[in-house]
Amino acid sequence: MFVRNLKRVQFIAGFVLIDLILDFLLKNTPHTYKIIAGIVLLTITFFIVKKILSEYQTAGIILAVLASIVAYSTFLHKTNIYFTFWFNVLFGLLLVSILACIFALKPKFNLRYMSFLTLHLSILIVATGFLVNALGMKKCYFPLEKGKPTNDCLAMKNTEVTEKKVNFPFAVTLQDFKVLYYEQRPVLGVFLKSGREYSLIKTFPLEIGKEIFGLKFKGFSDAAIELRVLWGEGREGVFPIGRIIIGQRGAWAFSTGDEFPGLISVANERERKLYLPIKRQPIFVGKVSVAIPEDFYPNFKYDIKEKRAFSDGNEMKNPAVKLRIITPRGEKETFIFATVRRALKLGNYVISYIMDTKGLSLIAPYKVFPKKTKLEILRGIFKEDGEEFALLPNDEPYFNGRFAYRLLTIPPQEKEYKSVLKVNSRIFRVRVNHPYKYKGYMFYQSNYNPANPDFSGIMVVKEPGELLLYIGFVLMSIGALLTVAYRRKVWS
Amino acid sequence: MELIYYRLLSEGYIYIIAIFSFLLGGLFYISSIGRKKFKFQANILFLLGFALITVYILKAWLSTGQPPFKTMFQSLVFLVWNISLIYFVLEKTENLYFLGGFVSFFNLFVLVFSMVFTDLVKINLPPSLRSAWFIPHVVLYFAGYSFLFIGFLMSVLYFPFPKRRYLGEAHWSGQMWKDYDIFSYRAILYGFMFLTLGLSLGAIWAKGAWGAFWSWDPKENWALITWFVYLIYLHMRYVKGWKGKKSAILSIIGFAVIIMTYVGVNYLPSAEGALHAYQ
Repeated sequence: MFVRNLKRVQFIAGFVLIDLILDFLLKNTPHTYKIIAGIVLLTITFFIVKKILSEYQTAGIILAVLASIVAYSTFLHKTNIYFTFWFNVLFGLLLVSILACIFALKPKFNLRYMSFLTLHLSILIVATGFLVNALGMKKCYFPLEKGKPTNDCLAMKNTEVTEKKVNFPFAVTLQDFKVLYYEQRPVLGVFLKSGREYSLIKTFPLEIGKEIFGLKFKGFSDAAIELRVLWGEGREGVFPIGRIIIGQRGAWAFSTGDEFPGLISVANERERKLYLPIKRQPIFVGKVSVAIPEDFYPNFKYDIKEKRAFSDGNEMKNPAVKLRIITPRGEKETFIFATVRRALKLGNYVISYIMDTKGLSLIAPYKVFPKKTKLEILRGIFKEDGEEFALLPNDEPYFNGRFAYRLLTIPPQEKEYKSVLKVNSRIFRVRVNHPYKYKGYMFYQSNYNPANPDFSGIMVVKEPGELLLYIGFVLMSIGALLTVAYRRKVWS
Repeated sequence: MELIYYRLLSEGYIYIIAIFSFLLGGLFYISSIGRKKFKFQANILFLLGFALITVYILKAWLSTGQPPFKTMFQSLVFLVWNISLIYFVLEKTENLYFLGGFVSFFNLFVLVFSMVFTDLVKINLPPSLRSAWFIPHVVLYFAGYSFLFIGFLMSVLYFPFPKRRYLGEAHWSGQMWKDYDIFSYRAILYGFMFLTLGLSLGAIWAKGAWGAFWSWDPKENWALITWFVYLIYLHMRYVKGWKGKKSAILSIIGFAVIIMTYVGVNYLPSAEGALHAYQ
């Protein structure tokens, strides 16, 4: 009776002790998890003590416990567990158990013993490699700026960069840095109408003549010039230059600064659009027609003999804009006048020239990145049931009852980034998956800053256990192959 | 559902015919149970499905110039290809005809379910995956998962058919033996071998790409847990003689862990910004 109670007291005392240890190790973990972890740990301790390490099943039990702890840490994002003393002790117990198993079996030079030995030994070697690394690994991160040599390397803990500076034995200089991108072509996004909302079915690459959900792609036209801009809260978009986009919060206009005074209005019964008349920037009228302002005349006059328009002085007496009209039927030149509204009809549309800009707020909350500014010639022409129409990238979609179609540009995806480094007098190149070893230090291309083309993040690692780990993993593979080879032999 | 339907349509005829081949193949496999009819038809339809998936993968590979194993959708299609290949080899070598219906319907389910993860836009290989290690690493892992899936199926079948029995070559099921415990064990042994090779290779690749053999990334952790579970399975079988029900339960747990490693881990908060988070 007394002995049984004593055991209970020991059990409770042990539990309290483990809980205290866990409390110290996992400061921010909820109490419930600590209790669970405590019970698990106590059970393990009990089993380990009860079943001596040389018993074969102990390794299985420790493996199960380790698997549970790793799963627990992954669920709760407790990465600190892997570097705790008790976690490493558990791993240590596993290794002792494996070692005990190796010594318990009498060596025989047959396939069965070799498969057993290789697999078990490989785990030991891998673990030793990690242990050697844990004791002597050097790992740090260089935030390098082009042309600035530095010895200051930021210490790393696992994959995280810390604030702590380490003095690297050699000065490292970033000589060059390049990011390569995959070539991106616009794609056609097809959306399905469900209720009031549209869900994206898929995007399709554009191939001339290919039919996509009833639309046939005919090709790109060179009737649009766009500006890639970053606007609002970091959103990137592609907008045609010269177009005023009127949204809920105001109007946005994108221009190159080469403007004529006034506005051009394009309207039909259903829609009304306003455009800044910019020299040689196209204005889209309806689905397929384009009007390009080519010249401005403050006081329009026409020389009948010479058959040419000219401005009689710079006074704004009769302002006019010369337009080049491009339609599927051909091209022509014409004029629109500020003094005469509805001067030009094009299909169902009326194009007007408006001089008075009062009442329209032209705000431009955008930031143009000069290096990223890309002038693209893109305008997808599509055909549906004999009717042709055009779509502009990221512009309004084309609706067709059940579906909506939108021409989309995909943000650039990085293909490769590489740095040219100078360490002492040695110049070498590093890129992702292709590190470079110099005097025992391995240089890795780690990351870069898209906003700063002169920046490159380089990781430097020195692992004393590297060779052991290579040997361990190769041996592990051989062990797995031998195990199957041995079992195959047994079956046959 | 309508969205899934249109997404299926957008994948093209090869994909849709492959789905119907697995559907009809599965029905023929099920119909052939208890009689000798329809086995040939089932085999032909299953092979047709496999061939079409092969064409689909090759087409995707050739059109993009990149191995189509990168996204969840692509990997699910590749999983179907692997399982089909491994099942068919096992069907012929081990006389496991009985499993054909399950595998066909599983393939059908995966091909339709993959529409949830369909690639809305083309995603290119990021720099870290542009490596010679990428293809062998993925192929080894998927071969491993496929063997382990077959092992799991047989472990499930063990419960209604626990007894080891010689059925004879002329048995209606096409099987000579009814011993799902040993079949499961064999499949798991092969699966474990591929898993070990994939894990070792992955660690060596990680050293070249990220500067560390192991980074305690959630995906890596769950790959390790999977390896541990199957290591326990084999270990307990060898040293404690675990067979039958105990082994079958471990095999089912192992497959649940695989699903967690393959799909579930992506939804963990810790997976956000992890090294293996590519999409």
